[in-house]
Amino acid sequence: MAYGIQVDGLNLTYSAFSVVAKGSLNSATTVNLTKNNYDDITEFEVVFTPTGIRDTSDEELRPTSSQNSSTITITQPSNGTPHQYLVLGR
Amino acid sequence: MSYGVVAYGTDSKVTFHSNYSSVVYAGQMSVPSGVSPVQPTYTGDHHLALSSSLRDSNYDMGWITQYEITLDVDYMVPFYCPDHDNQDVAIMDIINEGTKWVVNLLFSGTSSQAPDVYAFAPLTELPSSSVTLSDYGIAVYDSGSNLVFTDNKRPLRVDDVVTISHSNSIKTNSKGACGTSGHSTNTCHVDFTPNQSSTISGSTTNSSSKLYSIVPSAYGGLAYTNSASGTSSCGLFGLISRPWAWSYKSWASFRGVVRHPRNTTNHIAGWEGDFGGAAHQYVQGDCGFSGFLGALIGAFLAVFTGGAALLVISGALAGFVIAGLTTSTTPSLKAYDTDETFDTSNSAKLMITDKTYYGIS
Repeated sequence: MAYGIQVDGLNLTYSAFSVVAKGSLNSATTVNLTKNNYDDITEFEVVFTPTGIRDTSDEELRPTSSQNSSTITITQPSNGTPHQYLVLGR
Repeated sequence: MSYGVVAYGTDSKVTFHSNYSSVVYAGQMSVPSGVSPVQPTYTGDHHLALSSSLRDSNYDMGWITQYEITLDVDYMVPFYCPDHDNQDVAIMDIINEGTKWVVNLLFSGTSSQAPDVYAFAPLTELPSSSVTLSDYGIAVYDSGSNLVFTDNKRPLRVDDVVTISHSNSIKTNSKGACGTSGHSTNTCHVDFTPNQSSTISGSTTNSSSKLYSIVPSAYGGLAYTNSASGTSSCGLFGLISRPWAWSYKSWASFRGVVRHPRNTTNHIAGWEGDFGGAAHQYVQGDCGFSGFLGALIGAFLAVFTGGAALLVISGALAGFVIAGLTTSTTPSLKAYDTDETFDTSNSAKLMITDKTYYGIS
């Protein structure tokens, strides 16, 4: 390659997700993250990981996320069960 | 940034950054010893047997299996690789206890066609013993001296992120009907095969080397009931009567699954059965008995509702336990009284990557 970084003979020309924030959701709550706090990141994705068996007999709901140009909002509903979240950015 | 290092891809987005931990491939998950894929069915009182072919043709049941990996991290993201084209898959549960991570997964096909599952984790979470640095190459540390990027661990390269939503209903066409005309045996089963799905287009073409990560939110069930009661003639010359009553009930529990047709950029959000059952009871009174038999039928119906399903599946899931955990448990499955869905308004993000990026064969 003419410039840039090569790893194991492969040009590192692609973007990759890194962890910009992480946390746990154990009860009904809303988490707001300000995008400007994360230098150089232009794309954000939120990944939820349930941390236990889903109790379908309890009408459990998973957490949700939304984002606009400045804020990422993570919401754990009242009938949610414990989840982790990773905010990935690139 | 005012200091440190950042690299960008040709899409002008970050490849690695000294402020943030990269996400890296941490290993392939394996099926624990002694665990075999299961199709749990109701086997309690008055149950009707669900043959292998019936589970497929009338209950659209997939297989539940389990994977584990020893990984001393607090955060883990599983990716799966479908066993074959058009396979329906749903990650149902993820459990972490100590250094062990367990994934319960539902898949379509035969019991021998379980997908492969791979674990990814933040590099900063991995114990230093699992990261070997070379005498050459790149190592990037954050301000806390944590390793956040190394050329020895290729970062999570995501080809596409697709928002997946499931339909608000599982089936809208007829299930058919089952009853009994007063016989004590019954082999009838209605058809719970779903006919609802959603097709979502992405930008990356699906292939046999693609890896997918999604934990669908949607679940629900279908139910069918029928019953009747009456009297029949008995005794000498049929001058006396006896009462009879019967009740039939069946259901199928479903999870939202996702399919990735190869050589297309589409993803299909559909439904796959994870638990099913059917039961039938027939009772009749003595000749000349004038009482009402509904109470008996009512007791029978109560077997199938709500949390009682946890009891009725315990036998079906024998041998399917989360090995090695101090809190041994089984998937929570529900028997349904009516058609309903849950958590369908909550979309889930599907991330797509490729085995070749990480040297996975």
